Amino acid sequence: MAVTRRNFIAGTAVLVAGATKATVAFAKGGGTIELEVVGARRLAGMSGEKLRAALVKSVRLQSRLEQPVKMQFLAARLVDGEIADLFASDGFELASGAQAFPGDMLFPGDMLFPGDMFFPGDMLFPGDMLFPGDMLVPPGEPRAARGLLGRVAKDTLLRGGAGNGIVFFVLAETRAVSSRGLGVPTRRG
Amino acid sequence: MRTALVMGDGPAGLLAAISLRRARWMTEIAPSRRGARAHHGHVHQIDFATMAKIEAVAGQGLAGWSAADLLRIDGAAPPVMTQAPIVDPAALVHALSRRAIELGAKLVEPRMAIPVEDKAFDLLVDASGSAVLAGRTAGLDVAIDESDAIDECWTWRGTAGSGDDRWTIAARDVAGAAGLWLTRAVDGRCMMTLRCADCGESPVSPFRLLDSVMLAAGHDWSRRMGKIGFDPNPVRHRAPFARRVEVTRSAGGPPLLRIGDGLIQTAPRFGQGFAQIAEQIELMRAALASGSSPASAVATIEASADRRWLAAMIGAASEPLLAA
Ligand SMILES: Cc1cc2nc3c(=O)[nH]c(=O)nc-3n(C[C@H](O)[C@H](O)[C@H](O)COP(=O)(O)OP(=O)(O)OC[C@H]3O[C@@H](n4cnc5c(N)ncnc54)[C@H](O)[C@@H]3O)c2cc1C
Repeated sequence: MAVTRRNFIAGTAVLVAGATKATVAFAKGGGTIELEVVGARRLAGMSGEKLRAALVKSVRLQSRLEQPVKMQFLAARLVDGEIADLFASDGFELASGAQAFPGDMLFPGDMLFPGDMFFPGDMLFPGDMLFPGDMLVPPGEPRAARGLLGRVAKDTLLRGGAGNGIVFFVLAETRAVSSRGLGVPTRRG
Repeated sequence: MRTALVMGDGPAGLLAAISLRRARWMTEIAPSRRGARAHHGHVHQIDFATMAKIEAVAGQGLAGWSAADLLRIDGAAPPVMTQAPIVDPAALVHALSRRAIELGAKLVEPRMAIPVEDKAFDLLVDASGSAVLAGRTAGLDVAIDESDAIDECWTWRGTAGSGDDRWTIAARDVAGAAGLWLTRAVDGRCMMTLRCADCGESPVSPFRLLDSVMLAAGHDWSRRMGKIGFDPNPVRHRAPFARRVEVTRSAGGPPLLRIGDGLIQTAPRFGQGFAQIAEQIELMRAALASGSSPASAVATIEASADRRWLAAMIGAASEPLLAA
């Protein structure tokens, strides 16, 4: 019988057309991870298995975090704001300052998120969370993962002059925490 | 006949028990001991689609919910009126409990730990709403994964005069509030929830918020809101944006299926909790109906929790990008 509590942070990076490096910054001074895509230009126009194979060869992460962390890496290709491909890695550990090649273990994320099961519970996203009870938003409005990533694509990729691109997500485990209670803490304000 | 023990008498446990009975399992429900914490008391909103799924499992005409007017206020845009369910969680859970018993589920004594090696059962269901029960069980290792990102909101409770008028107002970008939700239940109880990322230790006054909502809602709705009075001390809810509990076992024994908040919780809990439970119950029913092993039901439900966890984490990660 053992109870472990693990705390995770998540960071995102968008690779704008022409760039080779992007920084994944974690919130609250959580440090950064540098993401480098060797020969990023070659990725343009690639999709499916070809893209996966190219990512396997070209993605490199360098930790600028203080301690070794366990992480998971995901890449989503967007076309006109729609997710066209998704890849996910297994969990792996990255030491401070060390490099990782998460592409080595990239597999098609569709296995993780088959069809419309991708991002179940559309209202999971902070943008939508602003509307309590997000189901109140009519289905036609953009709110699902596709909508969210579409906004990311439009706001970021298009600003960089590209309609399409690849969004990377890095999930990292941080120190174990001991201070939070079980369940949802509630107290009088 | 196969036998299942369901630990937990909240919505997840009761829906699991009903599904098991419908699939002709002998089903025992071990409720909580007095005073155990339950999350369902907080519920005010379940969308129509989720209610339909719940009634598909438990049967039509469940007490504890009804459709009511909903006014959506989105910044300065003209408000839009539509319909949404309003829930009385105690009545809904009571109705589920009655259905489970009517279908032949048996209430048994509360359990202090999960009987992981008890061969009398073909399936154990942990629907106790948290990791506490699993954490107390010898032979189980429990990992509680939480997102660093925090979800925070404040709720004021009050009354709004007599009469059976029921409605909800959902507003965003009103009075500086990113999101605000005001409900009047049938007995005149009302509740206002404010979701704000940077309210600090105390949010704005509820009365100021109410004034702004009235202004934005227009004359007719202001009248409907006329008699609202709040207890000025709000309840603050602060929880990780996502929490996923993983359990591994060192020894064999009947499969352990975990559902509900004890498996995965994701923000916004409003409307999300029951949606997740409905999804898990659907997966469970499909596995039971197909005659596949209970272990496969466990695997698909755990995988669905993984997807929700990942989705919530990606959502949290995307926030700074969107803000930029
Ligand atoms: C502030 C807040 C607001 C929310 N609002 C909404 C909303 O509007 N809409 C929505 O869909 N969801 C909402 N949720 C989420 C929703 O409440 C939960 O997802 C849902 O109640 C989970 O159901 P459950 O059966 O898993 O857990 P619970 O509702 O917590 O039920 C678990 C049950 O198990 C019992 N128990 C505890 N220990 C044991 C034990 N050892 N043995 C047996 N039984 C035990 C408990 O007493 C309880 O009865 C909200 C949550 C919070 C915190």
